[in-house]
Amino acid sequence: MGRFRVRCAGGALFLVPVFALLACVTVPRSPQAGDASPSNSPGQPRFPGTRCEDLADLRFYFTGDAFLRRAEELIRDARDYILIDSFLVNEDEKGKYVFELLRRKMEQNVRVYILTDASSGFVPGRTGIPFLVRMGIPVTEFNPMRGSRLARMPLFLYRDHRKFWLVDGETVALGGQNIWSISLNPPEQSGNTDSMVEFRSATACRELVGSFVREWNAYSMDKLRAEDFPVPPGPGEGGLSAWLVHQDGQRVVGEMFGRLLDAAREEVWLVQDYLMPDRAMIERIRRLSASGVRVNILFSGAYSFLDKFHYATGYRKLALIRAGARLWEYGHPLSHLHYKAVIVDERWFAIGSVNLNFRSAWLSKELNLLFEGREMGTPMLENLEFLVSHSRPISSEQAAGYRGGKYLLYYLLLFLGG
Amino acid sequence: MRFAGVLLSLFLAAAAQGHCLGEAKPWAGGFYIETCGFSDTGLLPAAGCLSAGLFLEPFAWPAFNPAIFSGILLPVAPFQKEALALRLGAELTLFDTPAPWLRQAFYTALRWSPALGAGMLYRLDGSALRFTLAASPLRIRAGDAVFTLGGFELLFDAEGSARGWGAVVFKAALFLF
Repeated sequence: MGRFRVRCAGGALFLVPVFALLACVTVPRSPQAGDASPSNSPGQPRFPGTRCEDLADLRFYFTGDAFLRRAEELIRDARDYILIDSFLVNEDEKGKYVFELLRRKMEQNVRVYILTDASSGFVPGRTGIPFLVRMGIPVTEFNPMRGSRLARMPLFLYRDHRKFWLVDGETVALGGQNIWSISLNPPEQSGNTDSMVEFRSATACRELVGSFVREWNAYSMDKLRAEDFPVPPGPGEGGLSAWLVHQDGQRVVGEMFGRLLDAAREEVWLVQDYLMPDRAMIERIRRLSASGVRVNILFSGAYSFLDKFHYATGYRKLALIRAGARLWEYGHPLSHLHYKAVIVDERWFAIGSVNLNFRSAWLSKELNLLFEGREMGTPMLENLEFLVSHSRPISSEQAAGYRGGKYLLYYLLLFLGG
Repeated sequence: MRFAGVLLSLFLAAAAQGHCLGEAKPWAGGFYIETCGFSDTGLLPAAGCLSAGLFLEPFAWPAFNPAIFSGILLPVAPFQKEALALRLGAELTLFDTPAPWLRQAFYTALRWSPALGAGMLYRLDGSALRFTLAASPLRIRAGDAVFTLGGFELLFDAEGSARGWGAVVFKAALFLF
């Protein structure tokens, strides 16, 4: 009986990591009934996320230097506060430049707070967190990955992949650009080809202020209050079909892709270099192609330090071609295509931090803007035309060469960890 | 023993259903791991022990903030599985105060967060029961975790007689939900 007891207790002890792992996979949750935007028009796909009818002043930035120039203006013109959530912050040339601008702005009594993911410590270069602390800029790290948290190991997989700037509760900029030289350098200097989209929307600002403060308070002992970051009424007149697809505790990314692909009648463009499709996604593409929808997927041709993604994404390229997709490789010799977008029938547009892979769907906080309207999406269409004109198709023969052991290994590794 | 297993399973199941990692605010609980040792051969052999379990801290009060915990304690150096014990108790954080002197070493904004506690240790083979009084003067609170260095415990038997003492070398309490 004593042995039985000891075994039971040992079993209970074993349950600790098992349940911790289960806890990991419970995040993010599926949306509850009614979470999806309730105000979709009849016939519109029922997109997940927050409907931002008050959205206005949409602007796009498709290179790092273009957004850096705009970031300088945003910082310069800020009057009250700047909240930044950046997946990566780095103590390199462009990172230090942005931080110095922010520090000077703080001297003018503008409040600045930066949230960043702990992943900054695991990429080339120095994480910018100690530098920010030395400069006196309030910074907090999401889900720190340190020896002291080792017992939380399975949960290290859960990351905050969002990149957004929130200025004075009026202006939001979100997308794929981190605060480091690799994002903010021009493509000619090996900066990523990446995007940020800027807009004004009180609805979006309120949601992002709340999310920022919640996350900040969870990881910092210097607590914030959401009511200290006022959000004035938005400038938009209402009626716009735009959604903030915000995965922050609820699983909305997979649903966003599903609804967008279901809406396709003619042509889909997936600008998704980190696309690592599972069988269900390949089958969905096969069905779309069979129904006459042209599915195009644009990958990067240059990878800088991220060549592991060439292997990870390469493994499924042949399957995608066989499913009917047309694959393209962006031909810039220096610039990694980090831009993440979906364009459906030149009518539906999604842009932000979301990759079409398991990690984005299940293991990351993500943020996208999704909207309807060819006119609003014209800059994305023009940019797509530019990218495609500098791209080459990926042939079946080329894709067949991506089926080696190294490709499979990276595919398996990065499926979870990418 | 079965009660302990059921209790722990319930705690763990609750954790698994939680919105972990910042989804519920403020944090309400998580799990802990500690290394400790005891000078009371009537309770445990002389050995380095490892304890793991769950804790709940339902409030986020700046002073006199209570928490409860429950877990399992096992001598691991040397390993003696027959000495497995249930550990449960309550802890009272006396206050949280900024600790700028820690900023020199850690870039996270930490707070000094000393605590007093009381609890119970029960050998799962039924051979010993002790009640504990604990003090954790060097206890540091980060946003998502509480770390204890060098805590002390006094052990009493069911009659209230002092039977020995214990020391916590390091305890990491990591919030999950």
